[in-house]
Amino acid sequence: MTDIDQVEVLVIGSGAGGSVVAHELASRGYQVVVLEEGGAFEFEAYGQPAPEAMRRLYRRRGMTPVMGRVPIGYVEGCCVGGSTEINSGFWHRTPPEALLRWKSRYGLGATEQELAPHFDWAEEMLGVGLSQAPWPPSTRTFDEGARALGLGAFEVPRAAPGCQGTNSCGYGCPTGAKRGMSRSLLPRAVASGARIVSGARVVRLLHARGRVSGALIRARRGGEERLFRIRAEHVFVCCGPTETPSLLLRSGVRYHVGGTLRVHPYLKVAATFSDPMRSETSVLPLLQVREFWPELSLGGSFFGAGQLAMTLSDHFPEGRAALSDAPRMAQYYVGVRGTGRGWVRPTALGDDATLVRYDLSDADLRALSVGLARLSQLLLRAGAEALYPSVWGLGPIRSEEQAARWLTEALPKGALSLVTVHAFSSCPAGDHRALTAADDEGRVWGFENLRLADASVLPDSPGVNPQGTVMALARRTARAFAER
Amino acid sequence: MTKAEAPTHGSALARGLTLLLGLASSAGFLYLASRRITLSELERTLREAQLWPWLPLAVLCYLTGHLVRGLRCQRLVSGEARLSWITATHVVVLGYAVNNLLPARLGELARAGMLAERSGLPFVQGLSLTFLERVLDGVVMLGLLLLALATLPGVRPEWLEATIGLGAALFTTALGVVLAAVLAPSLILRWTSRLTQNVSARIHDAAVRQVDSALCGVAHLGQPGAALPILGLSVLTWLCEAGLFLCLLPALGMAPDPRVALLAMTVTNLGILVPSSPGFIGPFHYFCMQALAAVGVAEARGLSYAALVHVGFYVPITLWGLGILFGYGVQLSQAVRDQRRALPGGLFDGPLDAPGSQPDPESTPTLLALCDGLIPHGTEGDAARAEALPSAARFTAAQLSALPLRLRILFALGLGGFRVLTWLRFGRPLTRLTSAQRARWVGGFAYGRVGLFRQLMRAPRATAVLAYYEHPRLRAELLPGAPARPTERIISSESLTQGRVATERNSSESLTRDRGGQRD
Ligand SMILES: Cc1cc2nc3c(=O)[nH]c(=O)nc-3n(C[C@H](O)[C@H](O)[C@H](O)COP(=O)(O)OP(=O)(O)OC[C@H]3O[C@@H](n4cnc5c(N)ncnc54)[C@H](O)[C@@H]3O)c2cc1C
Repeated sequence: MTDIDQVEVLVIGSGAGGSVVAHELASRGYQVVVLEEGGAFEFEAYGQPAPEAMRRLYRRRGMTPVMGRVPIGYVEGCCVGGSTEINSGFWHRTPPEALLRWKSRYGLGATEQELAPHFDWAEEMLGVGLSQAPWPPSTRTFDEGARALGLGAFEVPRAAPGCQGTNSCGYGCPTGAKRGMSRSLLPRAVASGARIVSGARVVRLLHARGRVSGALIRARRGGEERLFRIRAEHVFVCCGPTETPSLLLRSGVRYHVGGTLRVHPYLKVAATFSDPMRSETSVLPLLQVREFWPELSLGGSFFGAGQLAMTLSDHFPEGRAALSDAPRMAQYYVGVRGTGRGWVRPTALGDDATLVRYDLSDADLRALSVGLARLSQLLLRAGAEALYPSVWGLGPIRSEEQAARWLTEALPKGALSLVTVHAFSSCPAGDHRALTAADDEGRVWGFENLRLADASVLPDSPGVNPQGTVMALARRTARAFAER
Repeated sequence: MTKAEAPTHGSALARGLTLLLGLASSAGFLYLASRRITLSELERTLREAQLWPWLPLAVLCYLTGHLVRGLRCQRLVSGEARLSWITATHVVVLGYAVNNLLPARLGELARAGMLAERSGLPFVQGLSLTFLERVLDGVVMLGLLLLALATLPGVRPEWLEATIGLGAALFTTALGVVLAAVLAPSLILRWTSRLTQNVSARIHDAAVRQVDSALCGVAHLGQPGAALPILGLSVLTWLCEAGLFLCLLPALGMAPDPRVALLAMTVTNLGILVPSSPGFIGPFHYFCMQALAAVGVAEARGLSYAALVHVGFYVPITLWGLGILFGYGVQLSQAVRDQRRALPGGLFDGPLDAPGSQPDPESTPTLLALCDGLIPHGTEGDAARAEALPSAARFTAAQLSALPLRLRILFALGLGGFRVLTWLRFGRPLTRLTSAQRARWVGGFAYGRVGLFRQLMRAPRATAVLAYYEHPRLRAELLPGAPARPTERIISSESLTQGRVATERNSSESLTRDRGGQRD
């Protein structure tokens, strides 16, 4: 361990939040060091088959389930760029309703007008826009179904200009078209003088009397695991929705930390059509039905032979036969806002793992059931022959009558195989101190030089894909710091 | 001598006192052991002793025990350093030899020093490793003592009860410490950092590093499947040492009763935990003699026996240890100083290793059988299945090992229960069922009615299914015509502009379309 490592601004985590902070502050002349637990990868490492991609790019290889009465499969990125390297790049601005709610309930001052320039900037940096290529069959079909039901389906803009439809979003975009942080903001931050250290996991923040003095880091050099200490004048924790609270709790920072996790629970549905879908060789379905927002959204899901088999495995062994229809299949989802509650805690046992729990609320279950009915109707109207929801013992759904059952009945909790990739709100920010872990500018209560800037600060579920919101709020926090 | 090396007045005094105390303790125990025995009696029994072949056999057993100890030491450091079996044995032997020659169990320090010097591991790690070995030894010894007593009816002197109580309290506490270090290393490290962070940066860093090193010393026990072999080797070590005691019973005309040998061995070794002179002279003899007295052996014979065992215990190992000191030229203080100099450089001093560069854990036959049962045989050919299944099992093993420890333990317990049920149902393990039997049996759990069973199988099911159908051969069968996942650079030219295209492409019109209306 050494005393010589002293930095002005330490950013922990290089995902959507950390990259924005690093870029913003480095470009303003601050001496910035970004510590990232995961590795840094070249294009060659991206787009590999699932097992390899999960090993390299995912936290704990993707084995970070959310426990609860209904366990939820959850993954997040652990590499330079964080989850933005493995996400689909769907882009939303924060719904005005959410901002209003956050202001009145939590005292988060960010308004639509105030965030607009941050969104404009981020959208420019990431090349956010609509697809320039013709829609693939899985998207077209979804559109037809929505029209037949009289629902509005919108193409969601993506941060993937020039997407070549390699269908590798979840494994790292091998063409670089998807603007993960490693391909967009981080190179710019480095050009402005920021330094990124990958393979460095912060295990603890060192602090005394309301000031963080540095961090304790675990890393390997020359095959040997070592501990390092770094001193910092200002620290931004941007480790994401589960690791930020975990790090804070490990460091003894507890005030409203980790106890209010929210997620968007998703139910996947595999659908067989009569025509080839080319799902494996095209971008995932690009539309979302937001008619039922904020409780419910319907859209398209990532497709791969393994992913499809996982969804169908709720119907195995009989459902195994459906796999032979794979070329005619596509995957969709029902997503709900998530009104249940969860928590995040570092484990006492073993290495520095994090335990995550979320209890599905009755409203969530209700929304998932109705959502399944709606999505099934939409897909059947679009010509689907059979639907396989990831619910044990349920299906295949072949008629609207079968689907309509879930408009009134609740899906059996114990039979659900849910997943999520959107988690947030584990350290809510806002000026209402009784409900938040950090103030309106992301500064952790009780600390003068410790700030948060990632998905953990979203006061509650935004109801839309969160990356845009995370980036806009992170820039707002970085600016407030720089202009303080 | 530099200032740092010069012994301070206080430490010299402490060492002198320790030595005096040890010598006094030895003298006291020797007195207790011999007070009712005349020298001529002792001389006679020793002269009558039949040394051939018993003494060489006894020594052989004892030395074999050290080879086993070496194997255990080699395994315990295997996660962090590569030591040959013979070097690991030398490390162990050196510790014993120095304990025979110097007071206050300095051998433990010597051994940690040599381990540090040979392996490059921190000195403190060597010490914690020694502590771990001692705790394992203690636990095994207590177990063997109880075994001996259980098989020797009527032998239960009061002093022995007290010894067992004391030993149990001591080793249970020590075992608790080890278990905490193995199971919650991060927690201990965090607390060390927390408790020292306000003292001074130097003390904080030193404390954190030393505690981290100590935790590394016991970390190997936490690896899946590591604890049992280590425990097995510990038992074997002590059985070998019991061989020393066993072989010398007939040398003094006593029946070679393994129960008596076990009793004498365990009582003697617990007894020499009492501080004494180098080589444990005194306590060794006293406790060994007391153990024999408990089974009715006369005191003179008992003391002669103890003296003989002590020779077998002391001489060969001390000679071997001296040879090692000569051969290696180990300078203990030098090793410790080297460690101090070899502080890790700063975070920015050089590149860090890419995470995940360690090899993946191997699959097991049970996991392979489980995957076979989890993935129903469909239309794929046997050859494709034969290729994809092992890779799915490997992936599943790696994925399961990535689960947080708490979930891993839960899963291991569940899987253990499943294996027991399999045995009860079929009378043989899962690996020896036919594929059809496995599919039915495992499928009943993974895809059956009972939610708890489905949850148990959810993690292996999901990972096995994912890897199986992502295998290039299966994928090609399922999705004919789909290109293989890219393996070479196909970088979009736009991506290289890193954001510049955004300005042209991201017309405000396109975004208004999303927020405002439906695409037509
Ligand atoms: C598969 C997937 C698909 C998604 N799809 C979309 C989508 O289409 N649209 C959308 O808006 N959102 C999507 N999301 C969510 C979105 O990517 C996240 O909400 C967003 O990236 C969160 O940003 P963050 O900065 O909070 O965390 P992250 O981006 O996850 O970054 C956190 C970083 O911190 C690092 N870190 C954690 N702990 C430590 C530590 N102790 N020391 C050092 N480094 C540490 C991590 O390794 C990681 O790199 C998706 C997410 C996933 C996983």
